[in-house]
Amino acid sequence: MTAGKEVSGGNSGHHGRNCSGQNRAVKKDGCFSSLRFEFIGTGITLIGCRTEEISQSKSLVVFRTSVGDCGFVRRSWRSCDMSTCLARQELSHGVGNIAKRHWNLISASDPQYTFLSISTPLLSQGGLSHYTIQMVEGICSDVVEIIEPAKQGYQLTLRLDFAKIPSKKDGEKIIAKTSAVQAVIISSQLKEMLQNVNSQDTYQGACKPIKLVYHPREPFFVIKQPQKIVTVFPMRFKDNSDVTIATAFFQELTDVGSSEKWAKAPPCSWSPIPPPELRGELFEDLSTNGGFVSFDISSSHVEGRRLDKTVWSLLNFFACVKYHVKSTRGFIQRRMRKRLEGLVQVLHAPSSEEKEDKSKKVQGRRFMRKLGKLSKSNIIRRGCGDLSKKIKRIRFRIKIRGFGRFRRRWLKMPSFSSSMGYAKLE
Amino acid sequence: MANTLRLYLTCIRNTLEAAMCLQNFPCQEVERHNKPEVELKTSPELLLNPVVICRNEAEKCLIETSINSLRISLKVKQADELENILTKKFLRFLSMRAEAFQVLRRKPVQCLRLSNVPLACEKTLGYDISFLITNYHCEEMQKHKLIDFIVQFMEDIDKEISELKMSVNTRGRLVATEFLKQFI
Repeated sequence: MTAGKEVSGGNSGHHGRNCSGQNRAVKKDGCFSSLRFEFIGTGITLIGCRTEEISQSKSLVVFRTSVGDCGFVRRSWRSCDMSTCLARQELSHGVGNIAKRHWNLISASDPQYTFLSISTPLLSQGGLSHYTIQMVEGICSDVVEIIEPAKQGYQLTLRLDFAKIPSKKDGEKIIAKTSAVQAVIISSQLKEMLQNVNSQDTYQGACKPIKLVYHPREPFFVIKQPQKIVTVFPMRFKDNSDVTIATAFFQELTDVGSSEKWAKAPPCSWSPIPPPELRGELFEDLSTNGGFVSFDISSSHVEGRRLDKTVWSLLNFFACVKYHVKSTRGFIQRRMRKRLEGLVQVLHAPSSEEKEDKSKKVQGRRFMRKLGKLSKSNIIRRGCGDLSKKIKRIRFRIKIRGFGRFRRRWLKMPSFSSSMGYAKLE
Repeated sequence: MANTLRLYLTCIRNTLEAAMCLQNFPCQEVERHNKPEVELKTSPELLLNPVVICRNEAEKCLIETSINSLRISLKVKQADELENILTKKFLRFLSMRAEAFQVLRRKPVQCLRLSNVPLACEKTLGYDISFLITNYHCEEMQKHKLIDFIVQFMEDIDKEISELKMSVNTRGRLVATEFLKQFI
């Protein structure tokens, strides 16, 4: 196995860029860890997420897990720019637990193959179990091959064949599964432990809490007891308001879990202090501000298809709580904005007296408009009346006594009656 | 419970009706300046006695009056930690948007200095929200309307905090139910 190339901070020759400024500006992010692989030429490039502080002599590249996520930073390394001496990139990220998890990625002289070595705390002695190895092999047997024996200092070594990765959607699925190999290992180990919940076998350290770190800085403990397995989640939050919202959620969780309707669900409890099972653990693991949430998993919760759901729920409990807290904060903000509009409206709303005044004014205007209309029509009528009188004078020049009355009564021109019903006074 | 609230609000309304007799009064110390005397408190002859109306230990209202301005400070009840953070968030949200209310003060008033209270405790004894009404507000807006707004605001705040708390608990219950469904 050939060594990889050393990448200097000043000029990373393997991709021909001067990335020192870029690299120094980026902080180490010891959170998730995973790999996404792409290789230029076959449509795949190597993708890394963050870089540590880079010294002059070597670079530490920290890869970021995207288990279930799709966010990652892309960096393309051209194989043609690689120097003749191959560099060895040691990938490590400390997660704050006792044993550091190490990843080792080495690109061999053959660009087709890449070797990935993983070192992870084991839940039992004797290395990875057969079940875990089967789960890893089940990722994609064409692309991922387990090399035995594993590299010294590591529990598992994989050989990745990029040429066999199909293109487009299938390829992306395989890449996602490969990058989630850590999650597969932890979930298979937890699954195996839960499957043996009723087993009478007692192995060394059976009653001791086993620390699992699915997400960095968020460890949880698994304690094997007769007929059940207890999982304890120490909860930590950055903000005091998050602590309060989460505590309210844990109380509701405890209330719902203890009700008769949910008797089949695992009993759940919350306590502000560490449970007695965790005595002896490190202080940094037990210092929390959100208390401790415990679930008692029995055999009924791991039968058949429930096993996968149970494992998934336990491994993603932290994510579920954090998402609930975040969405509750958003809900509170939306509600406050909506209420603000209502409160301001009260201040600017007209009072009932003003409304009456306005309505009265409107009637007055209407009345005035009507009067205006009447005056115009009157003017027009007067003009027509004058004209008709003139015509009459011209026509009726011969005066006959008494004829005027007769004419006024019977020979009167028709007049349009007004809507107001006014009678003209003579 | 509702009776005590009615009495409390009625008392505040009557006090505000008596206190809201404001007139324009230029600053006596600085020429061509017109400042709310209740904020400065430099001239004692322009200030009236402050009135504290307490519903209980957790809820009270402070009304400070001067010749040209009036300040009303409210302390809202907070039964538990969740109500505490909801009240703080909501009132801070409103205070940051004080220009929409015109009469709202951006920062609540801290409690009056009492000789027998240690300094460390004074911060916790402060009020949650404050209003500042000046003679200009009384000229632009109607006095009874302002009083109605203050009283309505107090009712709405209590109601809103209770509804928010209930909504948060309901959401938590729904999420807990969905989470536990995975195990069944």
